[in-house]
Amino acid sequence: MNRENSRNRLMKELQTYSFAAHEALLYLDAYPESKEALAYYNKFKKLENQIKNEYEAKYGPVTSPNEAQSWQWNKGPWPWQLDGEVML
Amino acid sequence: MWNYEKRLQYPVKIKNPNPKYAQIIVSQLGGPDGEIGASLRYLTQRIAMPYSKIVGILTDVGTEELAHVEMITAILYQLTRNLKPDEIVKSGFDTYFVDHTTGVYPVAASGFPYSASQFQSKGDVIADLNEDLAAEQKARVTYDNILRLVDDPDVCDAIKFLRAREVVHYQRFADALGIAQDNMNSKNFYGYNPAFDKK
Repeated sequence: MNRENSRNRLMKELQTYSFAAHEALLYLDAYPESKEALAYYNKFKKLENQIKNEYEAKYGPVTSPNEAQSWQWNKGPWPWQLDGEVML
Repeated sequence: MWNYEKRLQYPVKIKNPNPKYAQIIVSQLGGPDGEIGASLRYLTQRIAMPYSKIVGILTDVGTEELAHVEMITAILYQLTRNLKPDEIVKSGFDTYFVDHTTGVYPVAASGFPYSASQFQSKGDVIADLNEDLAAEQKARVTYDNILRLVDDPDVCDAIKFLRAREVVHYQRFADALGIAQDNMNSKNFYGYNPAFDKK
């Protein structure tokens, strides 16, 4: 359960930074000349990538891996599953 | 091309199953103002759109809608766990269950299957963007109606996130309409359709 909690915490961080970057992405679509939005995007995209690397190192791939020692992509949990749920 | 991320855009963690709620919320999967229709609307409309900035908005909003499809399916999955036959009958979920068990299938709350006849890709810049603005408002109202009917903080938390996204998308489409009009003849926006007519 402790592992689930720290996995959830890291996932929440990934979701937060990714969301902030995505929100800036939509804004930049309409206002590409905004330096403020670009700096915001860069800041949160960098944080998103850092946390994604950390998450993937600990809990397995979020996107299909660039290179893998062993194949983890098919291992759970899938996004709709609840904590502790096991898939056959 | 699209890449898949094995995660939800926003967490969905529902402790208590509730098939009645699932039967209501399924409308945001396969209903007239649901997320599948939203995604297909923007991802098809973008092809004829002649303004690059607006193509970007349609692409990125249409892609986000796919993440919302996934959130809705996660909500439906979690609301329909561990159901007993008597609960299914009592809740009224039986009419869905008989056809789909607890599989996720895109229908409106009324039972009408998802239909592309519920959105348009008109190939006209002004008409398509006005449809997009209306679509975001209609989806916002559906989420407001869900919040009127649902009394479970776990469910409402995810629904409130989705509702807020409709408002943001509406704002971006308002920007898009402004970009289109800046490029068109302000004396007569309807004189020609830049997606088809040559100036």
